[in-house]
Amino acid sequence: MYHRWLIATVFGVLLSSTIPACAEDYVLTIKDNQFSPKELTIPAGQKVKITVKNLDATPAEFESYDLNREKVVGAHNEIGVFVGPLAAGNYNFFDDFHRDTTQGTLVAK
Amino acid sequence: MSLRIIALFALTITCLLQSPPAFAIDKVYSPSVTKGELETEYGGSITHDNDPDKDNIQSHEIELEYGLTDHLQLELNGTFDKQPSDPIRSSGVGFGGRYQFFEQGEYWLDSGLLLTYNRAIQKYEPDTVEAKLLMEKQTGDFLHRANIGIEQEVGRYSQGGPDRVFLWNSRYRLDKHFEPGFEIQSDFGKGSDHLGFDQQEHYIGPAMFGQIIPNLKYEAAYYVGVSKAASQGAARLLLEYEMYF
Repeated sequence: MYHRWLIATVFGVLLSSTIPACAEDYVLTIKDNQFSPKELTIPAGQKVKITVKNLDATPAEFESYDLNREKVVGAHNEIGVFVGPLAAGNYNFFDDFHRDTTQGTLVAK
Repeated sequence: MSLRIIALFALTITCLLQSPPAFAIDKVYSPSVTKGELETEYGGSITHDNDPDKDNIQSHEIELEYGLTDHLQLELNGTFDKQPSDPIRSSGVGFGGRYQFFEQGEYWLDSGLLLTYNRAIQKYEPDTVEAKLLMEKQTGDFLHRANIGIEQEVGRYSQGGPDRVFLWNSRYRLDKHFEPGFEIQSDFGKGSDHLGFDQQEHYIGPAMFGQIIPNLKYEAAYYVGVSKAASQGAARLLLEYEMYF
């Protein structure tokens, strides 16, 4: 019984992973330990992909408790972060390695 | 606010130490991996029951985890356990890896796989190989995690087929310091044993999760045994410190 259940779950996981992401792409840049733009507006109720480009010579960590995301961006590198669909509102994010200086807000409208 | 959280946390630790897990009650793993992150972790559990054979069973694990890539995390652990009438003893060392299948949030369900090999330290005890399917889903302010696993004894002292476990927790993301929720821990036993519900171990109970200070996270849960084979109660505590290299 458990094995059938396990196979069904694995099948479900694989099936759910075939649902296309269909995410619109937005870009966020880190330069001189500052996010640009500091406020990024995205559509509410839609999944989006944010490409975080780190133009600095030191690594950064894109982190947000509000969005439940945490990902390192190497120096002179970029990452993709999928968020949403989000309810309308403001969602704070920051660079965990420079959390005092590098902060921003995602605005879902 | 933070003083209240520290006080609540201290109270929880006190309760956990005074109150009295049987099968290896474990944390519910997230499939997410962070490259370059080194995590040092302590996880412990303890049972209580009026039956001395099910009382004060303890399990303790010290673990090191390192995110080698954006998708692969390596793990090294040492385990200690205590059976009701015995002192605490070292029981094994293990190593393994966690693989995150896709980017977090890329698909409807976040998923990954955990594979570990545990080498028994005590004589006449079997080594084990464990595989767990890790799943996570966020819905609004709620975060749900589930692990479905099998553990197979291997080597000279191995017996029978794989042991099957199911772990689940859900939490309300109220505040980064305090996320209340609940947790389920189930051990269905070995398939070849054809155990009924009451012969399996099932626990359910309240849990809380959060961050004490930046980079130091906790998880605490208290369970009630809901099958006869389970202890009347059990508790679990996890402390995790993260560093970046």
